[in-house]
Amino acid sequence: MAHIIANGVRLHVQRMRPADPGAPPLVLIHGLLDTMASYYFTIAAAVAGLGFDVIAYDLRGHGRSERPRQGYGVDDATDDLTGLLTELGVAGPVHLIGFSWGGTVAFRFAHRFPDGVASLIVIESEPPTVAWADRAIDGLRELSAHLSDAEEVARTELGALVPAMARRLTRRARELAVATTLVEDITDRTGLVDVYPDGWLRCPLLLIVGGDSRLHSRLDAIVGLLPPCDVVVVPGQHHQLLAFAPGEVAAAVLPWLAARRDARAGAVAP
Amino acid sequence: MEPVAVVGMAVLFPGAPDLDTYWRNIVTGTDSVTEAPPGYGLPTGRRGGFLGDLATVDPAALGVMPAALPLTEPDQLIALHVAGAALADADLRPGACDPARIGVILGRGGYLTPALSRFDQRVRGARQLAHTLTELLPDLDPDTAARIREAFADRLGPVSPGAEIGLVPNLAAARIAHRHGFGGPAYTVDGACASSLLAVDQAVAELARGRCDVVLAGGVHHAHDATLWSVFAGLGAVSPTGRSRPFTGAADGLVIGEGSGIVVLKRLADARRDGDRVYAVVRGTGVSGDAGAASLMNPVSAGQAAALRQAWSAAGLDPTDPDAVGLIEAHGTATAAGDACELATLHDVFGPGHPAVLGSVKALIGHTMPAAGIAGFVKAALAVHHGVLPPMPACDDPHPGLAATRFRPIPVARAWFGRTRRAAVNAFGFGGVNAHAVLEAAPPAARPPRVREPAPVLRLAADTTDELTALLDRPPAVPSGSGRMRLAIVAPTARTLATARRVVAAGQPWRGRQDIWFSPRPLLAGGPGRIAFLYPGLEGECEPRVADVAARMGRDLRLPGADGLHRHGVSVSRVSWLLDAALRDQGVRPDVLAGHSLGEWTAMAVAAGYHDGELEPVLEAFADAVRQVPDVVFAAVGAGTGTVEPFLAGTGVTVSHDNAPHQCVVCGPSGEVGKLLLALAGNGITGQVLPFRSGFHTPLLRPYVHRLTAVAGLLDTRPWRTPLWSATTLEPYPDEPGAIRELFVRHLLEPVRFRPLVERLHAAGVRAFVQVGPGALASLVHDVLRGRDHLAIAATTPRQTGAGQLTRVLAALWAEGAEPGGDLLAPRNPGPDSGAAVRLSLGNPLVSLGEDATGLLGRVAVPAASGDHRAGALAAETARAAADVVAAVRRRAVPATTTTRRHLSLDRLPYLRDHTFVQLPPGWPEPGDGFPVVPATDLIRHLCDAARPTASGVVTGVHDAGFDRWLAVAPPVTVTFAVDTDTPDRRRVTAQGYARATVAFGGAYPPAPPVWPEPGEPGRAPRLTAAQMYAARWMFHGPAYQGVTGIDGIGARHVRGTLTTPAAGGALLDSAAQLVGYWMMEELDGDNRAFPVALAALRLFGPDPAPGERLTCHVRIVAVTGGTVTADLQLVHDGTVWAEMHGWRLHRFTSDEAVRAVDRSPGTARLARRHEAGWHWATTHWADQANRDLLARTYLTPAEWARYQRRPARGRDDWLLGRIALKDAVRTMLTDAEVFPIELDTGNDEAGRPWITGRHGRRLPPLAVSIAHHGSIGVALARPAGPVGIDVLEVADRDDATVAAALTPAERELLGADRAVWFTRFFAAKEAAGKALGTGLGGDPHTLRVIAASDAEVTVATTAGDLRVRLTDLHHEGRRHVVAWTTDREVLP
Amino acid sequence: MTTETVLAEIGDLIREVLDGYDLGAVPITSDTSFDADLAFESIDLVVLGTLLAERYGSGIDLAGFLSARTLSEIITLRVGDLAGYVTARLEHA
Repeated sequence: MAHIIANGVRLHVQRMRPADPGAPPLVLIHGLLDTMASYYFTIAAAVAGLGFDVIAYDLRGHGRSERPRQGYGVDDATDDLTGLLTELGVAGPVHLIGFSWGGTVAFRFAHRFPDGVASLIVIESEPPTVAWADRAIDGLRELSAHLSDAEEVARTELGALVPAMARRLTRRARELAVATTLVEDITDRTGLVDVYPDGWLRCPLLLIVGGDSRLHSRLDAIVGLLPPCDVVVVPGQHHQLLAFAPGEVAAAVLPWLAARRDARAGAVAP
Repeated sequence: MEPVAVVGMAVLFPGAPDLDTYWRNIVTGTDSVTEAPPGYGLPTGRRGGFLGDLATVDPAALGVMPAALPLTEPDQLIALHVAGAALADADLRPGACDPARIGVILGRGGYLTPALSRFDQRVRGARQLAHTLTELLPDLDPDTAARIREAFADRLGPVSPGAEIGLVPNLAAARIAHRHGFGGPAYTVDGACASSLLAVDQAVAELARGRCDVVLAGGVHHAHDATLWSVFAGLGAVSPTGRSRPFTGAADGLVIGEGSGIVVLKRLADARRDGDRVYAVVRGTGVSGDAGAASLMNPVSAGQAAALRQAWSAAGLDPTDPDAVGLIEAHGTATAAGDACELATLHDVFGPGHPAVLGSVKALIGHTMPAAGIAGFVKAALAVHHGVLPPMPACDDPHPGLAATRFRPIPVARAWFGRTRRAAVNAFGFGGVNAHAVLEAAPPAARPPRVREPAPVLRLAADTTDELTALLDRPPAVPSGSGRMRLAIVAPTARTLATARRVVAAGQPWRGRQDIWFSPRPLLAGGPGRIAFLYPGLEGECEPRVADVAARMGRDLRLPGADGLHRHGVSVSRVSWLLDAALRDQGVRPDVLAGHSLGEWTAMAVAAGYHDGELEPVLEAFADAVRQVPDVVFAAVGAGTGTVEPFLAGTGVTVSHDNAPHQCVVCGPSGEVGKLLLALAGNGITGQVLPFRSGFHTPLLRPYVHRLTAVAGLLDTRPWRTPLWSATTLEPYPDEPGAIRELFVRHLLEPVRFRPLVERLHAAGVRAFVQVGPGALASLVHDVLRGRDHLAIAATTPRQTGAGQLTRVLAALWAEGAEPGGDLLAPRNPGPDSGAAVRLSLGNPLVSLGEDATGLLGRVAVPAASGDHRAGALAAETARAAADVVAAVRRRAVPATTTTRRHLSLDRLPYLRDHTFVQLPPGWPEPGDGFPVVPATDLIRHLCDAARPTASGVVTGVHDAGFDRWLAVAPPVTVTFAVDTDTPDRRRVTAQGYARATVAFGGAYPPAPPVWPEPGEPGRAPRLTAAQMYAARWMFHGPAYQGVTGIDGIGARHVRGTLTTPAAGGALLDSAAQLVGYWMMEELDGDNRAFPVALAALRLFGPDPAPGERLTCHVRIVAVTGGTVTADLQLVHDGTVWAEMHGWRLHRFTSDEAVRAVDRSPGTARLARRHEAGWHWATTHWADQANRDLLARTYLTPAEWARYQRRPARGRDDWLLGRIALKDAVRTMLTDAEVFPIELDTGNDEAGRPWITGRHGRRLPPLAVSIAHHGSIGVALARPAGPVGIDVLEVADRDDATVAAALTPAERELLGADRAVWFTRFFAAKEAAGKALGTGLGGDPHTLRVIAASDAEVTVATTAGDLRVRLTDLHHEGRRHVVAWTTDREVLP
Repeated sequence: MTTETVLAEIGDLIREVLDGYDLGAVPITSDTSFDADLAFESIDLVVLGTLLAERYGSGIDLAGFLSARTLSEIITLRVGDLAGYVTARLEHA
């Protein structure tokens, strides 16, 4: 099991590295209450098969990474990722895939290091804004309301579909809520903006959303924050797209990525 | 041409991290040319302009991935950093210009830059190395060659695909455009040393043709590569003396510099429209080439003159006009050809005319090549901006060519008079490219108020000081932590962060100094702590800095001025009104409102929910009503009402404002007030007449009561929305309209009781007082509540911008537990101070394989010896395994432990007199006082001696030696040595409590290894000779241990010397180790004191050399960390290696400057400071216990040392401080050149009274002394005669029981308002008096009574008469102490 | 290598993954459920995957094996399923 101390936190990292030493690095960022496993068993192997140097890690407090008491805001997560890449000697540009919160972190990273990102794929995710933080508060409040009540959990969207998974998520949420400042940190609006200036994202961007997800109903507003990007809507799917429709996600991700695998060569052209 | 404005500038040049420092260095003529710092990889002794540690940027804040750093050209990061600073300086109005029309043009040369050079090492150097090795060693197998190549490449850091983009040269400009989203052209230009003025010329053209609205122009040069030096040295251009002295007789060539500068340029008309600050206006630029040069190296004056004339013509000006120019910033390379040609050009173009000043910034920073033009341009722009003609150092020996010109350098800066301040800048490049720019001061223009971004605030919270300290060690960019303790720092810098660490460590509240607020028990959290807004009345002037706040709030703030009651009142009220709104907008909500004088009306209006301006008719009516009041004046008096009132009897003057314990305002007819002020002055009380009149708050308004009632009738009373307190009744305002109007009138007739009001508010739970308006109310609150927990802060101050001060108010309130939610506290993108700054590597030192190298050579050596290295390695492995098994069996069979005792003393080991830590007076009879210790190398000898009887053969080595503590031999000591038999030929020996090692024996010495080759790095001559090293006490060793007789060479990782074997025990190896110590002294910046802690292996290849034998010693420094230095040493005797020491590890301890001074010169240096009253005080100087013990050894006699050791750990420091203060106090009284502390002995008699005497012939005059210590302060007083007494006590609030026990009721009556301070003063005074009487307080503090008190002294009644005790405050590390002392002359009859 | 041997070795690896977790009451058989019996989190499977690859070589690709399965199949995975996969891969290698 590989652990790396990044930004002062011990992070669990798995790297699927092809033989080619020049393979472009690609980082997978999972969602809240989740772990790198959500990629590991879905698209990670296929992405590595395209010739990417795939780096998967557990966010702080998640999976097998260390669980410090605090530091769960979007900038903390970005700092962790920066630290991780520094420790791995990855100077970029990197390709990023983020699911849900992981996508929000990826957006922030791309905003802070415009030269550091070669392409960005976000699944069921949006950039951090004041409005996003407000919705995150609602979501977490809803989750915390259900925390102690198994029947309530069963009634949620996820609980109805996969009770075991919903139970697990609520248990993790409870653990994190008790042991850390995650809820405060994520919903802290300091430093968040309402809108982004033109040209804030410069890399190619693919947005994947579930056709029945809440995010889909706000898709226009989200796309409005972004530069021109590719959007794939997976019909009939809810938020947990990666878990329930890995095939569809792979079908959207793989050809898009394959076309951008060598994007770096273009970037250096005089 | 159309004039172009310089609206922003930033630089990073040697000695100048920012524009302000650059200008300061220019004005003071500070020469920043130095020797090359380590890490540049330049040969030793090269002098130039180096950035060194100033080349520090925060890559993450610049949007650069930290891992990309090694492959990013430093000039790109520096350009990005400097451009950011220039844009911030320009403060371009958002939206005023289109980013698509902003360009970036930078001068940059095609020299070998550091990152490219490192990349070349990796790509070509590694291959070349392997290739050469294969050529030299044909047997070398390909695997080994490949390993060496890899090891070489490994030392150059990891590879990251894609990061190579950072090596592309034009990115110096492109990165800036990319980072900021600029769409104008962004490129670099190369015209050698003219490059950055070419960039300015092109920028001017871009603005003129309208393609850009803003252009960043400048230059970068960071290429201190050995190749560049070789090129210029080869051309004969480099100064052999390493000094840059253009236009002087001392000019002998240029010195190479480095740096970057960027200016922000706009069309002048646009800058005017946008309200930009304009440093200077570019009137003209010119560029030309040299035609018909004799060679590419030779400048041509006619070519230069063409560029100059072009620029002046573009400006529409005649350079020969006598007043055309006041300052020439010359190219001034200080080469013979260059200076002569440039002077000819200046003479040719400017002709005779009026004298003007000439200079070149190259004299301070060296020649920054492509950046040289912008270095001069920025200097010239600053000169016209500030109106200062800058000097050029060492200009007293001018170049003969100057005489013909109208230009002269000046030795010191002087003011620049004249109608038009105009300067011109030259930059001429190799190959004949010339550039010139004409600058002049901007015509004055009123700059409309602009909103600057408030300063960033670091906010940290934690539950313990340790957690806070941990957060401070890595300050995050966003508010961090939770917990009850809070710390806020506005615009944190390295300095304020360091202060904050000390503040937090002290654990006491800290409110505002250095923009730090720390509250270990926040006043507004959890308990009843409340916030009061206090609105000021008329005070002095009204020129608040709030225009930016008004702009931020979108308000139109017009202040009618401070002349006349009405206008003055309106002005103050409007400022208060604005700040009230701004504070509420930032989420600050008051719990209570109150006002001072007329400010109470503002408070009423706010509390009643009036709108902006609704109060003004009331003010106007009031001003009308009192217009006819007779000519009375107010005067502020620097004393409390209690002090002033006795002077008022019989005058027509009354107290109108009871402001604070030390301030009140009186009012009366001007003549009477004048007399009163004279009477007060006679009693040492100051006073000042105030600039407004009208007798309010006095009975003088009584005749106008009906008018005042009418004014009150204008008040539209509404229900209070916030509780409002009255300074008349000291109660909350009534609710009933009639009662409100009645109180309004009373308020105008009766004194303002602000002091008691503050007391009442504090009693009611108010802990934070915010002064909402101009003036000094906050300081009055401070005076009232001194010593009690409170926060008092003004929402505006002349020292800060409006937003800046509001930021501080919010930070202060947050630190006290409030949660203001406004955007002023919101973090912005992490600035340069907040992130993880990285020092850029600007050089390219030679690659060293380090520890890996030995292994690589070993692998090479094996095949040559055995033919089949794999078989050889296997055999060795098998043999080792077999030996281990045999050893294990034997270990079980031989369980023996033998112990021996050795008695160690100076008598037995007399040579240790020359191995003492403390210097003694010459001829001192007690060598034991010097703290003689057994050197680690002699401990090794003792360990070997202990082991020898248990084994046979000779000692061939010592392994795994560890040294636990100093083994001091005075007083004599008995040490137990225990010997365990490890294997037949190894003994594990322990000197119990001090050291341990494994000693190896053999039948004969092993064959000597090869002599180490010459060091693989350049060496240089050491700074000192061996004799000087001892004489200057770099080493403390006396003659018996002075075995170093030559220091032959030193380098970044080595030192070599000659040793002459001394006779003393362990002295040969100790001398070898002294070379390590010498290396540390010369090479390490700080913490270069050390003591040995371990030795991995000592290998001996022959018998000990006889005394007098000469050896050479080669030291390799293996590792240096913050805490340790590790070295390998080889000692060679007659060409054969005698011994090797591997892993000689030293623990570095913190070097404390004060302790070092005492250590170097104990006879003269003093640790304690003298107070002007004659007493001395000492504080904990030592950084750690090692320093403290060293100091204690220096100051204490053996008897004192023994007492010191017996004291409980708590209080040991204080006790030591008291002795230090006393000895230093006495040493100061003696006239001898040298008095060592150890010559003085101190003690206490049976009554506890201190005494001091001399030792060993030191005679002291009759002395009366007293000593006291408290907290981390020791004080002492010494006088020729008694009685004397001194005491020190920290100011703290004591509980009632303590106060009652310590003070009589009469004394308690005397206590001032600030009980904590006054109690401390009284008690310290009584203690001091008790000591003076020689009785102490005798267990009953009531026996001595304070009968009179003032700030500076109290009178204590004693049986021997009244004693005057002086008092003063002593602040140390954020704590306040009182020192009380008596003197012999002050027993009152 | 027999399925029994592989099963026993996988049992050791599982204990390693769940270091400290008391497995005394749960004997690891081919019928043991990763989810219901061992309370395996998916991240534990990731770690188990790396241990398997270390033990048996990179031919054992747990990620690839599981990515062909649906979420509910992964949740109901039993130790025997994994042992069978490993045995089969080793035979083909």
